[in-house]
Amino acid sequence: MASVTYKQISKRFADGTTALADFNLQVNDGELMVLVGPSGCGKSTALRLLAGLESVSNGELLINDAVINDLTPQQRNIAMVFQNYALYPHMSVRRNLAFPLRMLKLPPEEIARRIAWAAELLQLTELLERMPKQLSGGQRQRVAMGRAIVREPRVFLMDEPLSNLDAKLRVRIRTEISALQRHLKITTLYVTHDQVEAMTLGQRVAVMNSGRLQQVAVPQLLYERPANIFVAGFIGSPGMNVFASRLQKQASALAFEFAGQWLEVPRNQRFNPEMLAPYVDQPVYVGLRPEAFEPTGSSEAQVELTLTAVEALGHEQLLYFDLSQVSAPNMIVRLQGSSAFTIGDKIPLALHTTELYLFDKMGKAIYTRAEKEKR
Amino acid sequence: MSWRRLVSMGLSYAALLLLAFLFVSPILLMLTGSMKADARVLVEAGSFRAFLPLDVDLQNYRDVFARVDFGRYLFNSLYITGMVVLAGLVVNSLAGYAFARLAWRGRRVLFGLVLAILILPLEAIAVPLFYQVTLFGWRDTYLVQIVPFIANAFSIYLFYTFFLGLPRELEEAARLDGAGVLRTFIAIIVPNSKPVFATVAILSFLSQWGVFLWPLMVTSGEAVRPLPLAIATFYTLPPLQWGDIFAFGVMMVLPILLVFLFFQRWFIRGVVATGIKG
Repeated sequence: MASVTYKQISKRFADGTTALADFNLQVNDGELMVLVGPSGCGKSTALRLLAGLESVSNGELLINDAVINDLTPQQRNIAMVFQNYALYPHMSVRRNLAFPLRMLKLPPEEIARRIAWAAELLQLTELLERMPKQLSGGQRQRVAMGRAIVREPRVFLMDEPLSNLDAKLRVRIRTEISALQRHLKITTLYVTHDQVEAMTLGQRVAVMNSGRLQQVAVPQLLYERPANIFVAGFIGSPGMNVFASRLQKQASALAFEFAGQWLEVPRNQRFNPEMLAPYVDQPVYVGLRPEAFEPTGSSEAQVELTLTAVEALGHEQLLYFDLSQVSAPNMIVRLQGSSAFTIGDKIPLALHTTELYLFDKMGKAIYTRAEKEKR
Repeated sequence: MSWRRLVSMGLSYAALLLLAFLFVSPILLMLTGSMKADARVLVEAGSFRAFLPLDVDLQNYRDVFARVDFGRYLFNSLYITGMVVLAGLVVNSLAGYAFARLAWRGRRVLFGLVLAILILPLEAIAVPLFYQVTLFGWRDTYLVQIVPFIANAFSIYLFYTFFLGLPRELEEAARLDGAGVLRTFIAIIVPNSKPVFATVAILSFLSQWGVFLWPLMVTSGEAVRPLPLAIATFYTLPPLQWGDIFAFGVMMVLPILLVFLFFQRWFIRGVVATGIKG
């Protein structure tokens, strides 16, 4: 049982690149924390630092309040599942599982007992005498998991463990990992670039970009209250549409500019005129999720936009609109079901402005104080 | 099959056969010559009969054993070469691994030096080396023929490039599983590096088996001298008997053939890729 703390961690590599900058993260005992971000955002580096495979440039790494910066990987008692599984090719499944236990110099009966336990848990019993090259991708993945759990490590690290599997198997093993983690209650850090995997698997999710932590929250809150434009665009598939805009004071209320129109800023728990006062006549960004639009009769329409592409997914379809007169190149609208649209047509759209998001010119989300505290 | 294709195929086969014969002929000549009476070797040398084992006679082999203590020389050669190969595998693989994977100060500079040694022939350092071993009192020993040749720049380089190609995750997994550097090397790296160990074993056996200059410089009696020096006595001391020389040659080549046959399945097999990715 262990909690993990990254305290102002930074990592610079010898070639001068900064992989992590001022990174702070607290992972609670028994929690499954997902680190998610685009490739090169530093999420794998964060994992490798904790494993001891890379050295920390600055800051402190703690397990249960004890600094582990100077411990070797062997001393940390952390297990890791690699993206390519890294099974020892010359050893049978049984010997792969036994390797970490032999390193611990456990008695043979104990080794046999633990292998039997892990094999049972992961349905590997039939495969124990096989060699890695005789296993399918999903089986190798399970062996890699088994090798990590037999040791009963303090912390469990997974570096994109599903990315070499096909889509169907990925979904199945995702649920298996989730169930296994809840069963074993081992503190787990899970790295992925796939936001769907992050949202479905993580008890909390840490979104990262360019070596910096953007936001840590439970999945639903990431979606509902993104901290900045990056998180808004990264979470959700497709992500939020974000446009450069301005705020203006009009007779009855504040208005924002969208596709050449002035639309009213709603007055709700997220926004009120007092808090938005400093942003009036200033450049801001507005964000609207693909779900916040609806095709409608032209009388209720707030904007009319030219359709440039349609992607039909069966249960829903994605409509692409050209917004080249605004800063973003195109805008995506998601619709349930299927209806016929012709590319090139002007489609009248209604906006659910209650689902409006506003960001300041630095990209930080603007919320009322109450909303901020919720986060 | 068209005539045209048949002719072109026939021509290419003929050309290939001729080439193959060119490369095999010296060995064939040695083999047939070793089984002929001495007088006939020279008489038939000018004709095609040189390649035909016309009458099989093992007298030359008996002569070799009568003229020198072949067993003694063979043992010396096997012992010296064997030790150089075995110790070389240990030392050079460890060095190659240190250069390929471990982080330590001065690694680049030292590796540059190792590469520089690659182009340095033994002849260039033979004399200073000779003074050095004389100082150690090593002349006329096995030691003097083994120790200077254990560390080998080319072997280190071969190991280095092979280890660079191994997936790093294997080692990282072993480290996390609780293995130290040496344990990782022995339990994980070595078993997955059989091709490079076989390659280095064969190459260093070959180069060591034929050494002539160095043992000539540092040894005097037949007690520790290897085969190449023994065969040299057949050339340099009369009577010059080609049949005996050929018979000696055949017996000297046999061990190389055996070593190659033993290692070739690893030699030919490519890189390990199993266990990694799907």
